[in-house]
Amino acid sequence: MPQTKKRMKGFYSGIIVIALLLQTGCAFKDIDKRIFVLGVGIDPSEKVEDGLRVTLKLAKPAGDVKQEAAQSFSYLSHDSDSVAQAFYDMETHVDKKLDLGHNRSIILNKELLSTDLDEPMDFFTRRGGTQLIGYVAVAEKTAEETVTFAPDTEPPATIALYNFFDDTGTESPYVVTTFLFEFRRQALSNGKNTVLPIIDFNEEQGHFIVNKSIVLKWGEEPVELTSSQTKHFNSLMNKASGFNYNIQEDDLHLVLSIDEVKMKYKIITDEGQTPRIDMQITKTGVVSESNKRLKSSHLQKYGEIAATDIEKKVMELLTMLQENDVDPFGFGLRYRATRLSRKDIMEDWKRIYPEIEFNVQVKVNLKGTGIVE
Amino acid sequence: MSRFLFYLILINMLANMVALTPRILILGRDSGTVLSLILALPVGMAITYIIISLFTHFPGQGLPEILREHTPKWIATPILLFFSLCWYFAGLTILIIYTFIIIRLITPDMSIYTIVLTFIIVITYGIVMTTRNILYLSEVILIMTVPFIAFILIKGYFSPELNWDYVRIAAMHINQFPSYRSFSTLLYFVMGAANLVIFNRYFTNLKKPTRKSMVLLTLISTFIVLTTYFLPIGFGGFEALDNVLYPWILTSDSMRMKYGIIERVVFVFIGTFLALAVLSMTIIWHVSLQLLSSVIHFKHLKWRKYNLTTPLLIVCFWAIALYITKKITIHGLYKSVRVFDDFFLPIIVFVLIGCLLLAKKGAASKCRKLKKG
Repeated sequence: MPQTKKRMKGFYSGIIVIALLLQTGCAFKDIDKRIFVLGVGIDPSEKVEDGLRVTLKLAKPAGDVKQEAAQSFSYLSHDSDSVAQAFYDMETHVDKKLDLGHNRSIILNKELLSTDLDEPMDFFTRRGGTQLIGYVAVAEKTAEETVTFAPDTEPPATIALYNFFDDTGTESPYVVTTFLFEFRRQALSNGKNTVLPIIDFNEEQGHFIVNKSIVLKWGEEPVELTSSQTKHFNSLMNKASGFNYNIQEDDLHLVLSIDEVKMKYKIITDEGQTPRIDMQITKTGVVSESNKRLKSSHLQKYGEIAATDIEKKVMELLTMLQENDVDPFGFGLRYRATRLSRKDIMEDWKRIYPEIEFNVQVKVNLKGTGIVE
Repeated sequence: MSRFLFYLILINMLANMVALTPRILILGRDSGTVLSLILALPVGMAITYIIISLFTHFPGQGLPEILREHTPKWIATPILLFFSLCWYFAGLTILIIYTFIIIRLITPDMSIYTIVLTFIIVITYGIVMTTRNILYLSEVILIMTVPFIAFILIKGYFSPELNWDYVRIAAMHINQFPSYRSFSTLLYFVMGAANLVIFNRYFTNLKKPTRKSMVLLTLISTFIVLTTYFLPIGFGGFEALDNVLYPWILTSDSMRMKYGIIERVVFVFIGTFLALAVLSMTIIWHVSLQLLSSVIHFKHLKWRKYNLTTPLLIVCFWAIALYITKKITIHGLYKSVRVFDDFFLPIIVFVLIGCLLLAKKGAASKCRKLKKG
């Protein structure tokens, strides 16, 4: 019997070793037979009616990155009825397999936002193999120009657009990051409007500018936020630090650098009262610039001056969003999350939101006047 | 409670966490899943307790031996056959769903036969091992995978992109009448102890579970069940998950390791759970094979000294698995699993407990007779 067992074991291990021969790397296609897509831009098409123009940014395979002087990207554009159609058409334009597995940025044209975005975005989430942690953004000019634009600060083998959004390169409260999975969940669930960053670029000086954002309204005209509004929104919603804040009081001029933001709110809908949202904001930071000598003992006073100013700005932002009937903070979501489920809960919220009152309380804790007084 | 018994229950839960359970639960999200969760856990724990304590009366005996000793053959044979087919089906569903996940997400260009064959060759090696060795194998694999699973879950729970409002919306659906479908699915989820029908052969000194071990088991099961349902909703949105076929793949693709060697958690995740899936299939099909070979035994099917019944049965396992995996659609898979959970699972539980009670009674009266004689 032991001999039988030994023989059986030998037989099975033989089969397993033979099975290893079937595993030839990247699913039978080696890396030199693939070309990686690094960015996708989607524009409305001028040639095809109701069609889309899809632009791909492709990484050109290079032997040695160190010897490359300039960027080594190549670009493909094609007009077609849909994203998938264009993509499969473009497969016939390259000799290698187009691989979306490394794609991290999807850039949309502004005009597309007011149409039904379901169709262009469906391709990316339906087709497995696209990263859901990719970034969705909006182009100020056209998506094609933005995707093909190469800034001067982009050395070989890096992609500037990734550094903007992944929180490892630049970290600025002006830059909003929306991942593809966030886009998907907000687009398909009720109660929160998606915010996308707007990418602009300066051709003469050769750099990107990402400091504005846009609030999507599914199938309707989107609402654009100015860069100051973007900053306030981002610092409250995503706790973005490095918040630089400018205050002017009489002849005192201060710039604060905020490194900690706390925000919580409650939706109060008691009988007989106008529904209201109580919002409490606490910001902690230091002074980073001033036109006068500051006194450490007056820190609280400076904080109060800053607080009233921030309160005004936040109120303006909230009222602006309410007037445009968009809800990027997700108040509607919170409303549903704190009440027992019922069928018409979203209809109730749609009735409540336009007349809700905001009650904002801001507290600014200044920890110091920087290194000097 | 023996730690190996613990592993049997744990592996069943972990392998199903990614497979079919989450989708069925999420489909019932606004028709009573939350209350079913609360109901199914105590019921599942009670059944687990009953099954284990009944098996303590038959140390070292599997169901085939127990039935042979205490019941006539015409009862034993159909029951064993029915059980073995049910176990085969349970293993097959895991095989199919993981094959689908691989072909959609990892190697879209690979032939489905290659994937299934790679799986079943490894599994075949597993199921012909002795019962004791499979338990040792499960310990080794659990020790290797649990740190990764813990890492991914912690990563998920502490991720800033996890929106707790969606989780709370899901929890707020507690006011709906529990649905039988979610209940039966969850019952299957925690029913790993049923594998004792064969694995009891190893446990020659099984004791009734102590209170401490039951509390520990309940806590771990509760955590895994809640995570299985709520974490995907926190990442994927409440309504937005409606059309997602593999909610946990989407969830793990929504996490990222900013400074990790690989940024996408999904690859760590799929690798870890593939190991668990193979282990779970090995356990389930081992039970199925042992039950089947206790019923079907061809005396004359011999080659030299070896009886060829078991290899013949394994070849049948292969052929059916290959045929069904090629033919079935994802819709058909979910449909058949639902039928299995809704109708066959309660039958299995009742028949199993019934048999054991009868056998226990028979054993007691036999004992008395012996004493009298």
